[in-house]
Amino acid sequence: MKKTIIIFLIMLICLTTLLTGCNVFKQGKQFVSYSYFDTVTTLALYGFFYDGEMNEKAEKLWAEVKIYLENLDKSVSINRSESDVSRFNTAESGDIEINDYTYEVFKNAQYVYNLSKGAYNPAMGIYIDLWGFSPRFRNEDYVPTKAYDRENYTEKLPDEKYVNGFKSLVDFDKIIIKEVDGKKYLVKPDISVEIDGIKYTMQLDFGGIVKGYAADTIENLIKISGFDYGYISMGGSSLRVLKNTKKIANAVENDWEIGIVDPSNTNSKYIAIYAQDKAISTSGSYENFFALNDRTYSHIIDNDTFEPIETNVCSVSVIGLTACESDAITTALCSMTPAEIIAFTDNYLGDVIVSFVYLNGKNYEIYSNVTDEKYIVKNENFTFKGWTI
Amino acid sequence: MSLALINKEKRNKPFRMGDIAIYMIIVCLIAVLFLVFIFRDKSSVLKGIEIISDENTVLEYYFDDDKFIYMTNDGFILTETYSGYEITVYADKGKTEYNIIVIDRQKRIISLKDANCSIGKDCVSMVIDADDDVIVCVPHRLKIKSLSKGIESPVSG
Repeated sequence: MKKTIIIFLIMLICLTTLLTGCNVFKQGKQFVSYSYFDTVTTLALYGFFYDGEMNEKAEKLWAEVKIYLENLDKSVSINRSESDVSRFNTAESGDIEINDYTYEVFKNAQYVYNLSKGAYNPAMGIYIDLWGFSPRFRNEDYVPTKAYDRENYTEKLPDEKYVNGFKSLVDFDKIIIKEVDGKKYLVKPDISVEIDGIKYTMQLDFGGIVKGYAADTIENLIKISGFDYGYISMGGSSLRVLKNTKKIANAVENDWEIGIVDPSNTNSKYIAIYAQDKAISTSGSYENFFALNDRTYSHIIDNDTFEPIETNVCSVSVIGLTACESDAITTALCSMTPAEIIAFTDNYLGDVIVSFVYLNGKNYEIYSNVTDEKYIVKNENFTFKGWTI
Repeated sequence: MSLALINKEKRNKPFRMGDIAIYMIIVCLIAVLFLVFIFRDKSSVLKGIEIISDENTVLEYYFDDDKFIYMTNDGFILTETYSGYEITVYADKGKTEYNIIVIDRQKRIISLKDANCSIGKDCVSMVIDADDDVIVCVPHRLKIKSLSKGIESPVSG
């Protein structure tokens, strides 16, 4: 009996080794997801995780990233009443002490505001909220709390008096950032408007860049930890790819095939672009919008009309800037005409790759400055037009 | 033979109840695995294949994208044919030992056209036409297995 049991156990060990042994020395991947900034952050890392040291490095990295995202969210989220940005928004004016996270995000926002010639404006917070695109509107238990709130914000437009009245509250240049005795401050300008006896002040919203900013920082953390292969996806809108462990036929070694969401069908992709060690950001009126009275109201607010943009540019993707810059620039480009996008890219963005989809009548057209060998059109119903109008 | 030795031999007889139970478990395990293999869901669409030589992945092929992903640039020759592709995978550095794999794009079938692994060439009679299928050529340490997922592609948007 004992002999039989021993033979049985030996057979079992041999079988287990046969089934698992083949993969022991292969490069593996680890996925970790976090939930911050009203989206899901996914990190994919590739490495030889059978190596104990590398496994430890990965675990340490996951913990670092979690702490970083938590701190960043605590600092700039408008969903958290104790965050620096929420304290700025509720203050009437004057100095608001901020931490290093908020300081860095603000400096980046300032840089991108200037780069985009003001097309990306983090001081548009009050209009984003007025039109119903702040995170609070996506909460299941949303109830109107502000004077301009509607019971159902997708069935009724905001009152004109607010759309016209808030225009003086979006001058981002008026905010001063300063350091005194090692402490950092934002100085809120003493500007307010009063409508129906209620006082309104400037509101910041870094939602347009914070995901990209986080992706850039996480990429640094990953590289410092010694990993070169993988990617970071911040809810898809902001993506940062490192290197691919695999070689795709007809593509450069280590390139990823990056699929860009099809605005006519968000379950598929309209184009795939090959790249490595790059950030890619995509914005478009196909996401986070509502339709009312035969018009689509997108989450991107026009700086001139203070209304959601009305455009046939359905989606814009930028590859080659930092993720933070790309996030803001794509939003800015969405409010331009195709000719303006091309001119802005050629004049200010150098060799950055830009791809956008334009709905011309009933036909979808792809405009892109990507070189021939670097892309594949995935939706054959879309016409690739190159880079000229 | 002494009585003690006879009793010892009796205790060591192969078909005691405990032994039979273990043999039954092994037989049942084999039967279950066999039935799972026979009645597995063949309706799942074959997304692609992975070609593994000597425990190292040589390349992957994805039907939907009609795309190859190379893990190495050496050890195989890829040629395009009327119905798809032919891949000659070499098992040795001198490139004398080989298997020729055929990819039929239209039918989504993988088969082996030829090999010089043995007289019987058992692998040549095998095909992959569904998820979970595997072809193994033991003499050349070659394994072709189906892939259930498409090409890994990060998505933006």
